[in-house]
This record gives sequence, C-alpha cells and structure tokens, in this order.
Amino acid sequence: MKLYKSYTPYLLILPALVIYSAMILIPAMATPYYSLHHTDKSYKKLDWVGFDNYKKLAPEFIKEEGAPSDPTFIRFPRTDEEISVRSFASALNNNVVYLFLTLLFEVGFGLFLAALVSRDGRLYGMFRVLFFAPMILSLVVVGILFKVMLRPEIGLVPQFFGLIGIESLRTQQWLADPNTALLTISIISGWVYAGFYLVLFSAGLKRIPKELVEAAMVDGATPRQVFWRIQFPLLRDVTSVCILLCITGAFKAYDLFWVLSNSKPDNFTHIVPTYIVEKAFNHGDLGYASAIAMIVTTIIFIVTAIHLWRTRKREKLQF
Amino acid sequence: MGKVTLESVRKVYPSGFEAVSRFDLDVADSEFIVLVGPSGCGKSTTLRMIAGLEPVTEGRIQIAGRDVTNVHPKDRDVAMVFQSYALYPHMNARANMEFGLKIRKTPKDEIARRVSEAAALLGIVDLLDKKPATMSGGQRQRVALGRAIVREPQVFLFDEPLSNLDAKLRSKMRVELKRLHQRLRATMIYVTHDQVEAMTLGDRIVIMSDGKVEQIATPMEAYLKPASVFVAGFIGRNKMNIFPGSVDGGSVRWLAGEIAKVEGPDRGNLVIGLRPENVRLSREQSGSGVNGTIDVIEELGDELVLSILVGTELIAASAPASSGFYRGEEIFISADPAHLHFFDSGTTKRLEL
Repeated sequence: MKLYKSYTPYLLILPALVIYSAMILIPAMATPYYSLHHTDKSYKKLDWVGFDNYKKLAPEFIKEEGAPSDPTFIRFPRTDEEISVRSFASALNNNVVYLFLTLLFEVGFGLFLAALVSRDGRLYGMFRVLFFAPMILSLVVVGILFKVMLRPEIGLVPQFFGLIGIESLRTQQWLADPNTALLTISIISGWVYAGFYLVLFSAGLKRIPKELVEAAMVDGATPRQVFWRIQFPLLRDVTSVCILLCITGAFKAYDLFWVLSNSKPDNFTHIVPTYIVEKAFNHGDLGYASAIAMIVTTIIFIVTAIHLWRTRKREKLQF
Repeated sequence: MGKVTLESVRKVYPSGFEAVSRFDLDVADSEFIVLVGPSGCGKSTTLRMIAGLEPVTEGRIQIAGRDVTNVHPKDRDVAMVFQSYALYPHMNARANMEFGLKIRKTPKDEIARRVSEAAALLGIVDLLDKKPATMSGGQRQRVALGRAIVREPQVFLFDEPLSNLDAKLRSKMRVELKRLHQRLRATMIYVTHDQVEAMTLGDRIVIMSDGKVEQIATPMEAYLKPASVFVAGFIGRNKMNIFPGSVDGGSVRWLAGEIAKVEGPDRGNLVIGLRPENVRLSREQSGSGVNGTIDVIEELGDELVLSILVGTELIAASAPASSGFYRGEEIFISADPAHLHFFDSGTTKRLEL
C-alpha cells in the first residue's frame, strides 16, 4: 500500500492549521468586523454601529476645555483625575512608558551583558545559563514568583532592603504604588528577556572580525571606545531587529501585568492588551475592545513598516 | 626613537603549546626587519606580542627605550597593517584614516594635513570619500597603509599585508613599500611567509621555524651563509639541493661520488647543500663530478631549470636558455667548493670547513 499520497503534506499540517485558525487567524480576521458592532454582555446580539466605537475613543485624545494639563504621552506619574477620564489613553501611555523601560532593561541590559562577554569569553557560558534560564519559565510562574518576593515587609526583596537599613524600601508597595508599579514590572521583564537579547547581540558581535577590534585597539582606542565606535555601529542590523522585537513584545505583553495585578490591573498598571481584555470580557464590550485592537495594530504596523523601510534602504555592511 | 628590543620573549598558549621560544632581537631605529617562516612558525605571534595584542608569557619588550611588556596596545605608539586590511566598514577612507588621530585628540587642522599628505603619497585622494566595500583589494590595502602612516608611530607593524593581493599587484606594492620605507625612514617590522618579499624588503631578516629563530641576518648573508639546513632550504628563489655527504681525504663525497675537492680535516655525518644556480654542468667528465641524466626541463624564458636524476635522487640545476640541454642527456655535475654549504647532520647548524 502506498502511504504517501499527493495530499499527505496537507494532512500533516492540518492539525496545526485548525488550531492556528481557531485561535489566531479567525479571531484576527473577525476583529475589524466586531469593531463595527456593539455587543451586549451575553455576546449573543451583534448590532451594527458603524464607526461609533472609534468615535468613542476620540475624546481621549482631544484636549477638553479647562483640562488640567496637556494629556500627551510619556508623563509619569499622572493625576488620578486625568487617568479616570482617559482610561484608554492612560493604558496606551503606560504601554509606551513600558516600551521605553523594556528597551532599557531588556535590550539595553542584554547589550551591556553581550559587551561584557565579548571582552571575556569565559563569561558567556555562565551568563547564557544565568540569564537565559528565566526565558524557559512561564510568565505566569515568573509573576507569582516575584509577587511573593516583593511582598512588602516579608518578601525577599523588602527584607533585603531592611537588612541594609533602608526602611522606606522595606515597606514599599512595589506593585501597588503608581510610582513604582510599571518600573517594577519592567525590571522583572528585563530579568526574563535580557538573556534572549544577550544571545542575539553576542552572535552579532562574534560576526565582527577580530581584526577590526584589534585595529582599533592599536589605533589607540580604549575598550569602551572600541565598543561604541566600532562594535556598536557594526551591530546596527542586530540592534534594529532587537528594537523591533521589543516594540512588538511591549504591545503584546499581558501575562506579567495580569498576574502581578491579581487579574485587576489598576489605571497605573493597565497596558493596551490588559485594557482590551478587560473591556472585551469583563465589561462585555467586544466592539469597543476590537476598535482599540485595530488602532493599536495599525500604529504598530506603521512604526514597524517605517523601521523596516529605513533598514532596507541603508547600504549593507560588508566585513 | 623607534628602537625595538625583544629580550628572551616567550609565548606559551594556555593549551601548553609553545608558539615562540626565547626570541631575542634588537631592531635599530628606521630599520626594516622582516620575520619570515612557514605558517605556524610563530612569526605572527611575535608581531602580535610587539603590538600588545597577545600577552607575553616570559621576557621583555621595549619600544623606543620604554618597557611595554604589559602596556595596552593603545599606549604603545605602534601602527599595524593587517592581512585582511581590517578597515572599519562603516567609515569611509577618510574616517578610517582619521580614527586613530581623533581618538588621540589631535588638533583638527593637523589631522586634515596628515590625511591629505598621506593620501597624496599613496595616490588615494580620489578614494577618501568611499566606503571600503566599494574599493578593490589594492585600494583597501593603500587605505590601510594610509591609516598607519597618518599616525606617525614609533614603529610600523605589517602582518602579511600583501598576501591577499594577486601576484602582479603584490610585486608592485612591494616596490611601493620599499619606497615608502626609504621616504619615511621609520622602523618597520614585517611578517611574511614569502621569502621573496623577505629578501627584497628587509634590511635584515629573521628566519623562524617552530617558534625558534633560525637566523637573523641581512638577506645576502642568509643567502650566502645560511645558518642552518632549514634556512638553506627556505631562502633562495630555487630550492637548494640538500643531501647527506662527507669529506674524506679532501674529497667531498655527495650523491655517491666526488663533487668537489676541499682542504680540511675529514668529516662524516654531514648535510651538504648546493644551490641550483651554483651547480656546475658539463657534458664531459673533467676532475670531480657525478654523473646524471636530465629528467625534466622547465623553460622559464631566460633560463632553464633542469631536474637531473642522479642515482635515485633528483637534483635541480639552472642553466642559461642557450645551453641546449635536452631531455635524457647524460651530464656531469660538480661544484665550486666555495658554493657548497656544510651542515652538521645532528644539530643541522652550519659548519665552516
């Protein structure tokens, strides 16, 4: 009997295709459709509302008469009053702040580690295990782990601050204080992902011929100058991939925020994905949530497209 | 000024491999020294130790009277030209040349002056705004030279700089390097595996093998009086004929016959060398001589290179193109005793009989 038929390959990918379609493809394609409708809490009724869901979002970005201050992005922290009237804007705002913090703690820290490793190869094995290991953990597990470690007064981190005599940090509500919540979550996600960027940057640094570094050293450059003037500019293709991954990652983050806020993100820990889920499934407003998803997807698409276009346009570096 | 001294310098890698053993060398100011030897002989390692790119296991290195054994490369005031050119790919030629000067905070007008002077000297003025990727190998090599020249260092280091160029360009650049040295009067240390480069460029050459210095001499000295069997075989355009032999009652026995007569004591256990260009060929036996048959003739235009079968050994000999030898011809080989090189077969060192 002949086992291999012309349709065999399709049969083999069918299970994956079914799951992918059910979980990702169909919902993604349905989003624009939902965004033009209004649902009730039972999700049974779909009413056509046109662009009403999008119109509802508009006031969040328009300065009201007599508003206390200019509601532009990247101001942190903000007043409670401001947040309450602009809940989506504040989630988006938090998300952008989170993006910049993760660029620092994930990409930046990963680059820093890679630079250390490139100066002393023996560190690589150790760093790779040390910083890559968190990547294997589920983010839910990581979240629970840190929630325990950060519990005020009794957690590992507050106790440590107690030991070295910083009383204010011993009682600090790391995850419940608007001043530290986002920062804390960013540092945790840096702990999870820095190893990933370490590996990417290390691979990039290894591709740079050793003679270039040596030539710069003989030319009189200090190790720091060698890094910033020779190695870092030559890493630009890797850097640009890392930044892209970090941007998309920040706007897809969900697990850590959800777990660390006990499934009830506050105004100061809401980011776009958590906000969408809350609107869609806790408030039953699937249409409004879909409209937000559409807008954010469009923003990310534009940013990514510009970034890729600029990367492609530059001349290739030859070693 | 640019004096370089290496005192008992030794390099052992963590694996235990001894790359360089007890290297002693005094390089005079504005001397052109060539380190030459087959790959893996430790010549590049030695150069890299002088540059500071490779830590020294034992011994001391001085540059311009200053002990730099443990000094970072950036503080040694040397410039290096690499085999792969090692131009910074993200900078144009001008920026490549300026890099070392900017790092050292040289005044702007001084940088501009030096770059334009070096560019004029090397004929690369048109290339200054180009990136390395758009240049040919020869052009990159010039820019790499320019990058070293503008630094005005105590010592220039060259690590096989011409190896990646084709044969024609290589001989052209060789002449230019020689001219450059005569013009700059700078101390230069040059590494190559090519004995022609070594002979033509070096004021003195250091012949190395297996991490050891075989001989330090002027090119002519190394050619006329090779210090060991290795040097004898390595230096010279045509490879020297080297076979065991002996001196017996004033008769030099080589290849189962008497090749020449000398005055001196009897000696067994010799290794005797004779350069192809010094082989005396005749069609008739007269005095000393061993008999052979011409096996192969290579015609090089101006001269013939003959491979002569003597017993079971092949002897190379050169002869003028007009000599009219033909394949299969019977021929007698002899030598002027002054052209014979004698070595101890145990130590492989040169002996003067």
